Order: sequence, then C-alpha cells, then structure tokens
Amino acid sequence: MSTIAPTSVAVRPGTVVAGAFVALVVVAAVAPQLLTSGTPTQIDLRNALATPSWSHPFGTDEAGRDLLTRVIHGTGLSLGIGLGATGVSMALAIVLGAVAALVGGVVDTVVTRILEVTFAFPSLLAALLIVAVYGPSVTTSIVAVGIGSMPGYARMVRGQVLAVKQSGYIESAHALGHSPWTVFRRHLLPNAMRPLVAVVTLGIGQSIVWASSLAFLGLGVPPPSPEWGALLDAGRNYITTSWWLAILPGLVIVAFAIAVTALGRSLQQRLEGAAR
Amino acid sequence: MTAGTTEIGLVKVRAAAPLLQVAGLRVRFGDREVVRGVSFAVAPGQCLAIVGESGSGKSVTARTLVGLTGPGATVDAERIAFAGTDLTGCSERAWRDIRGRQIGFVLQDALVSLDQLRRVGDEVAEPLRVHGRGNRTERAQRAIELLDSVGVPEPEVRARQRPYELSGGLRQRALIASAIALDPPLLIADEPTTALDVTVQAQVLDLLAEAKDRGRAIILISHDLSVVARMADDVAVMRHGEIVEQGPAREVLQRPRHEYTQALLDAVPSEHTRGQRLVRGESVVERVRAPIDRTRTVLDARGLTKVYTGPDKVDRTVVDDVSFQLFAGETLGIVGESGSGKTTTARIALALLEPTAGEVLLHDEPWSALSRAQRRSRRRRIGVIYQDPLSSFDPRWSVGRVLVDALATGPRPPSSREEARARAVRLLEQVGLGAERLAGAPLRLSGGERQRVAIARALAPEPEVIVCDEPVSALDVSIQAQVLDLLTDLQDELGVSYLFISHDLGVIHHVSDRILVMKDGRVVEHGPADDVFERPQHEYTQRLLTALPRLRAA
Repeated sequence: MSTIAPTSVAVRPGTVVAGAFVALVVVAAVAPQLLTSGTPTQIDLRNALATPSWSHPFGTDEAGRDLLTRVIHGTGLSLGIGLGATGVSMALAIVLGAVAALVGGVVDTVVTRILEVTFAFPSLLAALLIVAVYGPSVTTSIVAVGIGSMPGYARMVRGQVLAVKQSGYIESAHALGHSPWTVFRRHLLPNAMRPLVAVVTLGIGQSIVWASSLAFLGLGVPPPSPEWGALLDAGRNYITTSWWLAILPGLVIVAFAIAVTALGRSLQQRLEGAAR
Repeated sequence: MTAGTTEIGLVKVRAAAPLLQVAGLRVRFGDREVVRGVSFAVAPGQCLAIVGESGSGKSVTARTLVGLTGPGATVDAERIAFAGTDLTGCSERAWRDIRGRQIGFVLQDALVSLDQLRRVGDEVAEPLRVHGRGNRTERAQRAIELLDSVGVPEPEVRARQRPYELSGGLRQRALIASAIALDPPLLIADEPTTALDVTVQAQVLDLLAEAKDRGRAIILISHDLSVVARMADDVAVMRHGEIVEQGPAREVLQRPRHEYTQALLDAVPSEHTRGQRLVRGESVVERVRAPIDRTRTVLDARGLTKVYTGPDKVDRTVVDDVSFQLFAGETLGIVGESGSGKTTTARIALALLEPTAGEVLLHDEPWSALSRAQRRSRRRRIGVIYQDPLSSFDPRWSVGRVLVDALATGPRPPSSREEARARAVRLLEQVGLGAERLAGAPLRLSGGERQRVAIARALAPEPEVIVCDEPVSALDVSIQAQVLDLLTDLQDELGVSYLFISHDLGVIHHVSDRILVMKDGRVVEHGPADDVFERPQHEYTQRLLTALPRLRAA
C-alpha cells in the first residue's frame, strides 16, 4: 500500500502543530540536555516556590528545583511508561485475540467471555487493583496500565484476524503449500495489524494519561521522580498557593495526549483513505 | 404524447415516431469526457441495445436518461426529447416526476438497489407511493400482482420478505416489477441479467420481451452480445464514449462494418470457436494441441461427497457422489448454475476442503486422504486461478514479491535474488506482461492484467494441473478472449491439465475436451464436449442449452 500516495487527504495545520509538539517531546525524552542546561534535582532553597518567570518559565517547586527542567527530564519516563504499557497491552492482545480467532470453538468462547468481563469494569480500576497488589513502581505502572487497556485491543485483534483469515490471499498462500506458521507470519498478522496502527498511536496518549493518573493517586512512580503524574501529585499540595506546580505539568500531559490523538486520527484517515 | 398512445400494430412499423430521441449527448466528469456526442432514438415497441465493454460510457448514458448522472457530472446535449418534451435542463423535481412514471429504470445489482431493511412488497410499490397512486392496501395488493406478473412464485410470501432473503434471480425480478409498477412507456435496463444463471436470465429476458410486445420501448444496456442478439431491434456499439456502429440488430451482429464490432463478435467463445484462438489477426488461428495422454491420470476424483450440517441441524449435501478423471494435457470443464456444487468440488480437488466421503488422487497417489502436513510438500503440483485475482494477492505485496514467493515453493527454488528476479520476469513474459510490472502493486493493474499475474503465479511452481475457478467471469469479452487464449496457449506449450469451472456454457464449450454438467451437487451428464452440447441426454442439460441466448445460428 506504500506505493499509493494518499494525496486526497491534505495535511491540516493542526496536524503539523501536533507533529511538531510530539517531535519536541520525543527529543525531550531521548536527549533532555538538548532542551535544558539545568539538572532536575538541583536544589535552590532561596528560590523555592518562585512564580513562572523568564529564568524559570514553569516556576520552581518547594525545594527550588526548576519545574520546566523537571518536566523535560520526566518526559523519558512518562513516554517510556506510555510506550511500555501500550507494548504490554498489544502483546497480550495479539496473543489472546489471535488465539481466539484462529483456534475458535471453546477457546474463542472462553477468551471472548473473559474479555467481556474485563470490559465490564473500568480500565483504571483494573490497574489500581494490580498496583494495590504489587506496590507502586515503574514496572507495576507499565504492567497495570498495559493490562487495563488490553481488552479493547484484544477484541479488535480478534475481529481483524477473523476477517483476514477469510481472505483470498490466505487461501492462496495455503494452496501454494506454505506452512500455517509462514502464512500467519507473512500474511495474516501484518494485514490484521495494519488498521490497528492508528489505534495504537491513540493508545499511547491514553496510556500516559492513565500512568499519570496512577502517579497522581500516589500509586505510580514514587517521588522525587520527575515523572509527569508524580509532578502533578507533588504539586497538588500547593495548589492553593503555587498553582503552577500542578497546572503546568497537567497542561503538558493534556497537550501531549491531544497531540498524539490528533496524529493518530490523521494516520487513521490516511490508512482508511489508502485502503481503496 | 402521440407516440406513447399509438396502437401496437402501428408501432411495429419502423417509421413510428420515436419515443425518446437523443442527439449529441456529452457527459463530462471534471475534464474527463466519458460520453462524447452520442445520438440514438427508440420507438414504442422497440428495443434498442447499447453494447460496450467497461468504461465505454454505456451505463453513464443510461443514467443520464433518468437524470441520475451523479454529482460532478456535466451533461450537455443538442437534444433529449421524450414523447415530444425536451428533457435537457430538467430540474431534479421534474426528473422525480418522470422517473418511474415515464421512464422505468432497472439496475444491474438488485441486492444494492433494493433497500435491505424494507419488505420486498414495499419496495415494489414504492413508485406507486411516490406518485401518489392508491392507498396503502391497494398498493400492497398491486405489489403482489406485479410480483406475480414477473413470475415470482408465491408472491404473497415474497412481498413480506426482505430482499436479502430472496435469491438473485428473484431480487432481479422484484426490481423489474418495481420498474414496471406504473407501466412506463420507456424501460431502461442496465445489465439486467448479468450475474444471473442462464435459466433465470431467460425468464428475465422473456419478461422484457413481453413488455416490448405490449408496446413499451426498451433500452437495454449490456456487455453480452448474445443477450442483445435475442432482444434488440436496434444495436448501438459504444467504445470510449462514442457510438462506433449503429443499426438494425441483424445487420450489426451479422455483417458488422466496424472492426471493433467484428472483434467483439469474434471474441465471444462458443462451439464455433473451439480449437481456435479467439483474438484474430487477419485470419483464424487454429490451436496446435500438445497431445492428451489418456494413460496418465493427473487428477482422479472418486465418489466425492460433501455434507454440511446447518445451524438447524439439518444436513445439506452440496456435493453428491461426484467422480471424474482428468488426463495429462486435457481440459475438463465443470459447468453448472449457482449452487450446483461446482466450486465446492474444485475446493475438494485442491484439498482445501475435506470431503465427507470419497477420495481425490493426484498423479495416482493419495491426495485428499493425506494429512495436512503431508500434503504441503505436494501442493505445488496443483495450482489454482480464482475468479477475483485481486483478493488472492496480499495487498501489501508487489507483483514481483508474489511471483518470487510462488517460485520458492516450486521444485527448483531460486538460489539468488538475481535468479529469482530473472525468473519472475520470464513468468511475466510468459503471460504477456512486461518486466516493468514487477515493482507495481496488483491493485494498480487492470482486471485482465491481474488475472495474467494470477496465472503467472499458478505457473511458477510448475504444476501439472491447474484448477481454474471461473477465471474469466469478471472480465470484459475482449479481455476474456485474451485470457482464454493465454490459457490455451500455455496448455499447448506446457501440456498442463485444466480443471475448468464456469457457469458460462460458451466458455466451457470453447475450452473443454470433456464436460461435467452439475446440478444440485450431482453430475447429471458427462462426456466429450461436442456430444454434451450437440446431443444432450439429460433433461437439465437440454433446458440449459435452450435457455442459452445465441449469437449465431448453428
């Protein structure tokens, strides 16, 4: 499909802005020192709780640490949790969804029922449960958010695999004498996953929001980590006196989620436009 | 209005005033002109057939005559006069008044033309409702009468059903019933019998002929010259938006003056074209057959039976005790209408489906009885070509990748990338395509080219048998001729055997050495092609052949 340029969908200015913001976030995650010269743990008690200014665009926290520097240095962790959680949920979803669709029968019924049950209670609740059992840490955040968002993906994977399984090219590949594993690897999985690319992009933003929510509840990455949700949690105590500590990291989370969603939607339209 | 009310006896005279007259009709979509100044006329009690291949502009012409050209179209005509009224520049409101009452329109695909959520009776009575005829009960009664008049059995029951519950033939008849609900003086039918079985097609054509006898004018749009030969008084042949030849049906079809019409007529496969190539240069080219070796059975089907158990726990036998042998270098045709079990038989022969009973031998060795894993290494010895080649290609793959993948399953897998590429190019050349197709996606190819790539893929692992499941059914007649020629050329060159499945009796007669006629899962007749066609023994075969519209008298 790469040969078909989806020229019909023009790039909207909003998409460009979203793309630029996401690119900036990725740079912050990979090489935070390019965007800020400070260190996130630099304590400066004389400048504690300073309002946003030219020298501290996001202000400082109760220990005088520069908030912008902390946000930038926290990006890697937040993005990592988002990507990791999406990875975990996709991996689980592919296994469950594909097994259900390919094996069929009782297995399909059982998996589908399990998915329906997990659907019935909110993903965040499922994540909370896991954290409650295993205690807060980066790993539990990834696993908890990953498992929480898995059922939706699993159902989509199952539907896609079922649809692709019926297609002519799968039968053609079997007729040529390819093994079931080769057919799965070369044709079934890639074609089933193609429409999910956009959905996954949307999911990354969602995962970051959920990971931040966990941290905000004190169930995510523990302070003094500059993870976005943890910053939000820490700033909560000063919300009446130093609003920027909670509001600004919150805005960054919201902005990132919106940017990723915008990109995902644009990708979705393009993929759908390109599919004949 | 005079023409519409003329007595039928008078109308039969050719000089009758035309009901519809079109002059210099042009239709543009953007800067692409798809209809380029066509002119024609049709009189009451007459049938004008517009024939042409896909992209000729025939359907756009038909739609323009009912004001449904579509958004983005620019229609321009010197004259479109219907019963003396000028239709050029008609408003949408005026068109709505004309459609149904003055001009009935029958579309090809009844499944999409009928609203799936409404009852058939309501759909049939829709023109009555729109034009405010009768009350609800009267309309319902009239719908049943209409369904009855178009030969729908149990019209009271059918009227209460929804379109998806009806077979293709019944849906098409319901659509015609709807088009004639107000008995309009002009009926436009766009490919009304395409996708229908021959026996159903015959019924639908009878219905249109009956309307014609009642003095209605008919414009029949079709790609099928045999259908046209049966119905039309006048024929207009369209190509690239222009009418290349126009005149009385007998003259156009028997003494065509334009070379395109001649080529179209030559391309129709039938008993007359057996043993010849369909695409002719200056003269008829006879096939030079590779000998058929009757001592070598490449495919041997013994008592194949397939039973499906439905959700209602009722067993349905879709293939019932089917046996046949296919010899080396031979073509065995399986012909039957939809639901006859011919495709299921093909899938069992390919061992993509397990038979409930019976066995298939490939080269005198077990085939269907083997386990899946055992079969895998032998799969390359039997190839397959489908009706819809596009869906049989992975949408992410280029033509080159498809061919290289198939080569790798063969007896001599390419040892290097260069060799793989060279052999893929050779395969393309074998099917008449250039090396430049290698990098492209199958989606970018035309229907005929796609089928050529599918044939190249089937040939890649060097099989001795190829199962062809309706390989030319979706193609235009001239493209169909090219693909059939390619298949026969390859057989003459490579000595490959074909199990050839088709619903098209002409195609089957053209390519097959022997024929199996299937009905309701059973083989009702089998024998050499000429015997089956000239001296059909079974009543069903006789009925099929009677229903078949013919281009030329035998």
